[in-house]
Amino acid sequence: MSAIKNGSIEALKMLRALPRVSLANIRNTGAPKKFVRGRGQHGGDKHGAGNKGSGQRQNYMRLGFETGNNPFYLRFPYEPYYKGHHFRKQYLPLSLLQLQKMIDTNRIDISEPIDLATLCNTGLYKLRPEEKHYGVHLTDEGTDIFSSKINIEVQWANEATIAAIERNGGFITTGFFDIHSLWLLKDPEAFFRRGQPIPRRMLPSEDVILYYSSPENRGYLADPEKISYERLVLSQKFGYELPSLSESDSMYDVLMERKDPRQIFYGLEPGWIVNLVEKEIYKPKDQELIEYYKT
Amino acid sequence: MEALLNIRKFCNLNSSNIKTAVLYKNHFRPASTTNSVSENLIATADEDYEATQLKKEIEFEQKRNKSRLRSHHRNLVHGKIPYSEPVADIHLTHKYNRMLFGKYGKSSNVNPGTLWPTKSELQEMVEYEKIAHPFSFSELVAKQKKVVDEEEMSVKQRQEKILKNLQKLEGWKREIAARVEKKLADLAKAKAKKDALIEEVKRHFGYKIDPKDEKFKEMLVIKEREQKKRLKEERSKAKQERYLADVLKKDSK
Repeated sequence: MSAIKNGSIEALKMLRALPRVSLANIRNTGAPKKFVRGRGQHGGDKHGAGNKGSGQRQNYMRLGFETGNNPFYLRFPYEPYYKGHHFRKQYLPLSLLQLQKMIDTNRIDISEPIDLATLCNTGLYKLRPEEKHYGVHLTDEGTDIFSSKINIEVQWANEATIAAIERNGGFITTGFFDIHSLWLLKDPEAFFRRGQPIPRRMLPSEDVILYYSSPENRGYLADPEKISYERLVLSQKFGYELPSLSESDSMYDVLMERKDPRQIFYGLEPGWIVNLVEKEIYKPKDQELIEYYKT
Repeated sequence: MEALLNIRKFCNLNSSNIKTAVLYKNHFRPASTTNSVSENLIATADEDYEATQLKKEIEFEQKRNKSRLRSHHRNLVHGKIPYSEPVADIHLTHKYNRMLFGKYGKSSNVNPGTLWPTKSELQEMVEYEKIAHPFSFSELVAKQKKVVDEEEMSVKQRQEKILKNLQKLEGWKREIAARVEKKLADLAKAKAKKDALIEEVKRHFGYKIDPKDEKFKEMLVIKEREQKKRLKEERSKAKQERYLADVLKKDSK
């Protein structure tokens, strides 16, 4: 009996003396091994830089240089596919599936109209206007799963996406934002902290003006009557019954809210200044300013 | 300088606050318990009750402050505007004051009216927009529609041309076949002629001679010349005959 007791005490003692389990002594943690540059007589050696040459001297060749060959980037003097590429617009894709997931995980509140600022505020959608991201391209992946009644404003959407949203009684608008407005939408708070009046949204550039003025694409510059007609046409094409929206619907105001072609943020007009500290809004009184921000 | 003063007036910075003014004056001093503040203060405020109270208050405040931070850093930590008085040139700029208002709201003492563009700035903005965005919506649409229509037109024209050409295709195929046939026939004829000539030369020598031989080549040239001569004679003879026939015809008439 005492022998057992002694044994257990000894075992406990040993256990106490053993090192604690930590990241340092577990195998296969998946943590990347940190490269340690060895020092000392032989541990140091060449520190993984190789023997002789540009690797060891760290005077690397310039990018694209092919040690005397005619470099690839200079080999073809005619590259018409790059013509005007610095003007081309990118639309960062977001699928309906992702959108539904954001809604289901309460990243997006559908009792408010959704726009680019909402998506950026989820923290899951990284817009980079510096890379000519002109907004969100809502793709039709997850069309069958999507089941939310929303009012959303995107920058690009195809027929199937539009149908998926309208089938659920929602509304979609495609709206263009110039690059300056995109910076504001990406981080509205940062803009308000700069103490500047909200600028106006500019008209779309020539290459996309027809897209945003066509009712088929639910363009924000299209005639609303034509849009409601196109909604009906699309429902017949895809074979679903267009849910009717009555004024008594609790979502009516949310679903009907649209931005003015000059407006950047929902509920805020161009020319207004937002004071985040005291939670106040200042509006211009000068007639000239009012006129400027209205046109 | 006058401009700077104007901006200062414009921004409506509150400089009458004695407390902040004193803090500003000492703001490069490391925090310590000794102070020469009292002398300064006596100079600015008379020996009335309020001033002494204020003096005490400042003293207490300084004693309580053990952070050893510079005043502007301490202000930043406490979410206040870093400088109550402009200390650098940038603090007199419109941009800085705008930022102050955005960050600290009303406590920045910036008049929100200054945040909008001035008349001249507005004019400049309008002028800029006129150049950057010269076209109205309807103009832009019309312009783009024209481009699209032109593109469609060119596609349509090309397709029409293709259809028209397709109808002619069979005829062109036949033409080419005929041309090829004719060319081949001509080639065969020329080859036969040449072969006959070579055969003749071989017959002249009476034995199998290599066509690359100098003698053969010479003879070939001679034979060719003869042939040409013969052809020429034949031609002139035919011409003469024709001429004679014409003359006889005329005479008989």
